[in-house]
Amino acid sequence: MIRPAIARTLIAVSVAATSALTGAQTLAQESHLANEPIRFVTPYPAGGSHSLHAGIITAVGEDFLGRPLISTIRGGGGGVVAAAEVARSTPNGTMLLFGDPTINSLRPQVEDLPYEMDDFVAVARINYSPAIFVTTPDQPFQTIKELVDYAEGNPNELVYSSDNRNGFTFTVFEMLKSTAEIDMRGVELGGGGPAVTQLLGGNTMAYAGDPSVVGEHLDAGTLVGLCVTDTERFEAYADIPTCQEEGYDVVFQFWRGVMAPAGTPPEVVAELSDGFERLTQDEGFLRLIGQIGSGVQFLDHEAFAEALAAEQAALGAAYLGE
Amino acid sequence: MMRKPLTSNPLLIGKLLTSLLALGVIAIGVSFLRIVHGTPPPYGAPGDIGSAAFFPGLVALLVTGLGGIMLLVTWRANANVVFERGRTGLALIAFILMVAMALSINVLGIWLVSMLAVPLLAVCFGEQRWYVLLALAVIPPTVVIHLFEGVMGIYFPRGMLL
Amino acid sequence: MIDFSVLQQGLAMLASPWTFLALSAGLAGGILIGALPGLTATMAVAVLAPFTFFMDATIGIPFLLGIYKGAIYGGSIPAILVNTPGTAAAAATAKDGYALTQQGKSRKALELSLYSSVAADFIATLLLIVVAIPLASIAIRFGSPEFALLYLIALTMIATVSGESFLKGMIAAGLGLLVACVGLDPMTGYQRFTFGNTDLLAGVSLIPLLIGMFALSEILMQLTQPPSAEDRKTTAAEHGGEPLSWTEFWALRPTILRSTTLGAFLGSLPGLGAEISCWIAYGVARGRSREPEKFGNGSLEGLAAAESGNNAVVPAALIPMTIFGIPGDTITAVLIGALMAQGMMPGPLMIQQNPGFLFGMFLVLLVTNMLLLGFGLLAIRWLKQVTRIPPTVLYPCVMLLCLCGAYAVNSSTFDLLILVMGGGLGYVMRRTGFPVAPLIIGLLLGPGFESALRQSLVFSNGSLTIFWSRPGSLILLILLALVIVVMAWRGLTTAGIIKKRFKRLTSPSQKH
Repeated sequence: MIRPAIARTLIAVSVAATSALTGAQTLAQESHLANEPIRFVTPYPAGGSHSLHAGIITAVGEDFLGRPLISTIRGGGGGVVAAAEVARSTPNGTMLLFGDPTINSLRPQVEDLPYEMDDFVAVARINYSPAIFVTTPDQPFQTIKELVDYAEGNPNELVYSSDNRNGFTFTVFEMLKSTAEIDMRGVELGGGGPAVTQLLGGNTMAYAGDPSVVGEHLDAGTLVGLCVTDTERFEAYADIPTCQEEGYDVVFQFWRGVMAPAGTPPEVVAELSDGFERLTQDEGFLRLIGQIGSGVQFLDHEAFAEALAAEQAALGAAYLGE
Repeated sequence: MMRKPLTSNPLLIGKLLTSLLALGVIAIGVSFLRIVHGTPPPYGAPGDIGSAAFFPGLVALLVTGLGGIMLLVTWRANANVVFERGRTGLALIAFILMVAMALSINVLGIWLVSMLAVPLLAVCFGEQRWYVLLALAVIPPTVVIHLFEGVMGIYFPRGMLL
Repeated sequence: MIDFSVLQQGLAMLASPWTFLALSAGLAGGILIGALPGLTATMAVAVLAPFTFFMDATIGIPFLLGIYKGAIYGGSIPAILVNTPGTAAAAATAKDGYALTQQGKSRKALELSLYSSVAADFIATLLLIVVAIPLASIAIRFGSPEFALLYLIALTMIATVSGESFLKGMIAAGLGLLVACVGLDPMTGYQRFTFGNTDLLAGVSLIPLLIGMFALSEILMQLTQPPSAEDRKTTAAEHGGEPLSWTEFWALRPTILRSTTLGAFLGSLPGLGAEISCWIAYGVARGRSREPEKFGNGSLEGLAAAESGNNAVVPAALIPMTIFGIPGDTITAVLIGALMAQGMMPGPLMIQQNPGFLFGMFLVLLVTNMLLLGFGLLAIRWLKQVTRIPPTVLYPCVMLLCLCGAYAVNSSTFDLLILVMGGGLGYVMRRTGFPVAPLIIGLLLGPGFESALRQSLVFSNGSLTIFWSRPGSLILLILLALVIVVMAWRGLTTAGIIKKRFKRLTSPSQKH
């Protein structure tokens, strides 16, 4: 079996490795999977939360799927390049996409892309995170209501940090603008890092992002949380209300999930889903996921497919129904 | 350092070749300008600084203009446009080999492509001893591919044969 | 500022022999990875980071830092020996480094690149221990207007690297800027100049194009104009030529210091990496040089400037990361991930709660530097022999490495086409006297400049006044005007339009 030699040595010398490797070994003879490594494609450049999750999954995945997982980082076009490539690949479970709502639900509906939503089948949802609307302590608004009031009083004067067109931050701000009927200006800065930098530097006034991006600053008090785009409060920052509590119907769960190209045999999808389920129950995996400030909200292939269909319909109605 | 001139009248040949290059540059500039200024403008109004069309439009205009200047400068009396001589044909053959290598890798796979391309390039460089060519066909591909796949975990396309 | 307990915490990171071992293994691996074209420091750290998740922090983090530093240095080796920058940051190094190799002075070039890398890194690290926090608080005030002007200043460097023909340099830069426009525009979602090709949505991949333009075109040039048998004999007989003398190195100290300061400042700004700072340092060094005509033809100053300019970025890029938890570039983004997996979250809290960590990390960096010097000298002993490999063996192997490296960047066979096209373009440009460097600079700076410009206009609601109404942007605007005036003045004097009032004095370093 081919496996990076350095990787093997590194794991061997490390003491903590044992806890991750004691997971159940699947029996290869009953498998429906092709007898070759699985390419696990991350659609964004190295360094984001996606590639971090993918790194953890691929590092421990072999013991649960019975096949080596090769992490392939294929950034570009905001995820479109990787998605198109996976969509075109042979549907036998050897190439999987680490998808998210913008790639799999939103953008195929509102942009002219080289792939369709139906080119993918759901395999497993690993987890999701909401966005947290934040601002700096020196802005004239410190709650979401005050932000909306400010934007009403000063139309188009409120400048916020955004990521990419139809990205995570972009979408939640569009949702807020349409439910609260306000006008604000977003600056597309290309990612969470520059977006937070511009907010901290006083160049923009608000931002909404993943807890792993803004959490540290919430703890330190350099950023103030306004509201959470989920149906319930975020455990680690339970003092921040949900947007619904505050009267703005903004719910957006940024899930990270495994997608396979359409046409993958159902028994292969089911076996992969089982493998990922066992992976997400592993202690070593949970410890690593916890350390990067994330958690597990697993959905198997059936539940995930349902949730995905509902999300796609809701986003379609919100964007195209207007 | 100057080598032997291209023909009996190197200056004229040089001027013609440079003009050809300048025309090529103008052609690139114009084709980008045409896209940007298409109807309807595909990337927004090219005159609006904030639009996605402004910057490419400006650069394409610059390139077209500079190509024009180059064309004019070439035909000035004291222009120095003589090219160095060389074995261009051989380089062209090697370039075709490289293109073939890039195009065929999906079909032939990394092993076959590298085992063919490496000794063939050596032949271009004038290597004729069969045992050296054989060694080149076997050793570098084996070492390099194992280095990338084994250590870095980067897997190459296998193609239909291997 | 540095109290004893902080010092102790920092030293504790170095106490274990395993830390040293991990650091050394990382460095050696990093040099190898950096030396292979296409395999960048970013990729190496990204690929190997998951495996450090299972290690102790005092082993895993030094290992990754070792890879990071080794790979940045390693990129200069093939740039010098075979005109193939191993990483984009070494592109400026190739200009003078390879010229030196062609003159039979590869040993001198390799040693100078190692010494100036290590010196720059060392000085930058010391500098940053003192000014890290004030520098970071300036850097975070930088908004899009300042970045746009900074990019514009960097773009003026095209004029200094254009070589003989300014016109051809401008055309090359324009082509680079056009190529940089290809791809999905992140602000509007328009698919620009993609011609319906999915692979072009991500834009033209920089590294495959770069490898093609340098390495493949070099192979084609070698076929077109092989060096005469006599030339080769002298090169090989000298075993890479003379070593670098201390006087030669000592004379370069103003260049190294200037490039280091520049690199450290640029590196502390989030988003500007070693790829850009090497060119700015190179351009500035040429502007200040007493022998600018030597640049591109084997100038020691040029090589030292490029190498110290890109290595000074390494410690500086760690500033936005450790102080704000914001990645300065992709590689620090990956490092943040590795730190998080160790249960350490870089950012404002860490500085308050654990100031020893920052200090410890700088200490590790200083030790890494010492080790890098040792490893580098060891490597040079063998590497200078590369010039003795006959071209029939060397160039086919270089081509194979380029092929594998270009594929490795994105695991994409389309990138191989970009590689080959880059090779053809580079060959045509070199045969016809078009400089390659302006194209690379245009390609690197184009996207950054365009998005900073457009972001600024969103900030200001379409008004251009934002470029002089902010104090930071006003200073940069004045700086830009000064740079342009000085360049125009120099250009006109060399062209003979304005007469030189006085002759330049001979350089003071030659007096004693």
